Amino acid sequence: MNWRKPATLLLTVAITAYLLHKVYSEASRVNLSASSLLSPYFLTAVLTGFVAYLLYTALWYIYVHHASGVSFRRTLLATLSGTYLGFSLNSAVGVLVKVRLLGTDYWYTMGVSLLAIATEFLAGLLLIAFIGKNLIALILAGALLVAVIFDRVAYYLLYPFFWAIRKLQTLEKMYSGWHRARGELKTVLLAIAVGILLTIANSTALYLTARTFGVGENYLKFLEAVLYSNFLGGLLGTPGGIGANELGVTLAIGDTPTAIVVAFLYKFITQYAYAIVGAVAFYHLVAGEVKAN
Amino acid sequence: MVNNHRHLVNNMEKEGVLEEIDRRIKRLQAEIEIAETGLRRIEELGARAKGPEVKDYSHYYLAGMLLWFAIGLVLLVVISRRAPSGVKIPTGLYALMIVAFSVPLAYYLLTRERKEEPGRDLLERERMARLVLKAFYEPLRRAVERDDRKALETLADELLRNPPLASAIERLGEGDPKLIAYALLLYANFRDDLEDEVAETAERVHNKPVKALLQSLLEPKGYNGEERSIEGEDHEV
Repeated sequence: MNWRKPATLLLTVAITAYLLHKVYSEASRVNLSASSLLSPYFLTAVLTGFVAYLLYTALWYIYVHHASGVSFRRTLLATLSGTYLGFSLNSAVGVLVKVRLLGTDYWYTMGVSLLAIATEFLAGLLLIAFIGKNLIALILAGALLVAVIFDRVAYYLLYPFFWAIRKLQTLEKMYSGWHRARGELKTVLLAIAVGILLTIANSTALYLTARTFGVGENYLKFLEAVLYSNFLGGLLGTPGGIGANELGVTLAIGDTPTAIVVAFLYKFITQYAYAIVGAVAFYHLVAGEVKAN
Repeated sequence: MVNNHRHLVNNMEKEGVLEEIDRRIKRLQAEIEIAETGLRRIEELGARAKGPEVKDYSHYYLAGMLLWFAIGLVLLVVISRRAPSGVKIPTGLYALMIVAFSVPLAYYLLTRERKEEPGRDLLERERMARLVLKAFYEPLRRAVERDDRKALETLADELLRNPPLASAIERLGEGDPKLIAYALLLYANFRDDLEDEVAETAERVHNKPVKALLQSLLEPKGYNGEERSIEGEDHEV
């Protein structure tokens, strides 16, 4: 199949060009000075963003490694490619590619995917519930916790629905994937701990970016912003690209021109930059696989 | 029987027709054998290469992804309407992507009939060969052996009324089923004044046993003229 290699290359170039174009057009709308980008706040934010990305990979690694023994490096390649594809297309495509890269089966990877998202939300909601003494966040966190820890309860809650649409087999597979990814209680607790660190790192990166431009808000607002941004950018099925993510941030920290710049830069240092790296990683992996075939 | 003096009066002619039929039967049996070997090999190869059979769910996946994408887009539009923001969401681009992804899905749904497993073709040929053997050549052989014209008529009827059999004969390259049916009817109801018609049909029909059958009716050229007059041999058991 000789067409696969050029087709892959063409697709990668097209998506990367789109990515760069969007980054450029977004960046040109705001007045970015070199001094603000070189300020210690922003440089620390970049570093924190890097740490956050490693923590995100670690979260995946925890769920993937205990069952399949995949290395951290392989997991990093998979998350990078997944970020790239989730950014430019859809997180569902990202999951498909991760299935190939991690060598795990589809339902398992889907389970890990959902677990990683759930863990991130759970961590964010827990932080908001305890720092902001928010009852709604606590209830939502409790529901997620039940689904993660007592997954059999969630299974029986979903049972009537899947029975009605006659897809019990699908529910069975989903449950098995989720349950296998979840592993022992120890794994889940470790993952939640990493998820909390990840959320703190992300909101700190956002906080530092905001400070670069003199936007000072309550730290809680930044936690909310991270949560909203994850939801709109990652859970909605639309490409996690520019737009939805920043909308999530501005929903929480306000809708001033400066806030939009902050939102964009925050997303750039925590996600978009890795999507561009991911494009390269993805091409290498796919090209390598084509050669191997 | 009025005109049966020409019906396979000659043992040698009958042998010739039977020989042709046997040849066809052997060919179809070989076809079945080849298909079976091929299928067995595909099975072995498949078992070795793939392990358990992997079902392809990619179209469900794509459809689900598109649905999720579309719902997400609607939600995003609703949210951005309710909370006006300076952030621009490329809704047009997203809508375009949904359309673009629908193309491979539609393509898949339209072409999936053709993308069956590799053994399907062989399986189909085997099935057709068995059908033609059982429903055509074996009855034909019996009828010719006994010179049973009633049975030949029934067989011609069967050819016209059984579309699977007709299409199997056609697709296995055994000739035009309608022409074969006509030839059999012609043979079963032969009269002297139909000689030209028989000659013409024998010319057109491609199925060798049927051709031989028709040719046995034609005025033998000279040397075996007297053989026609021998009667009573057509009911040999």
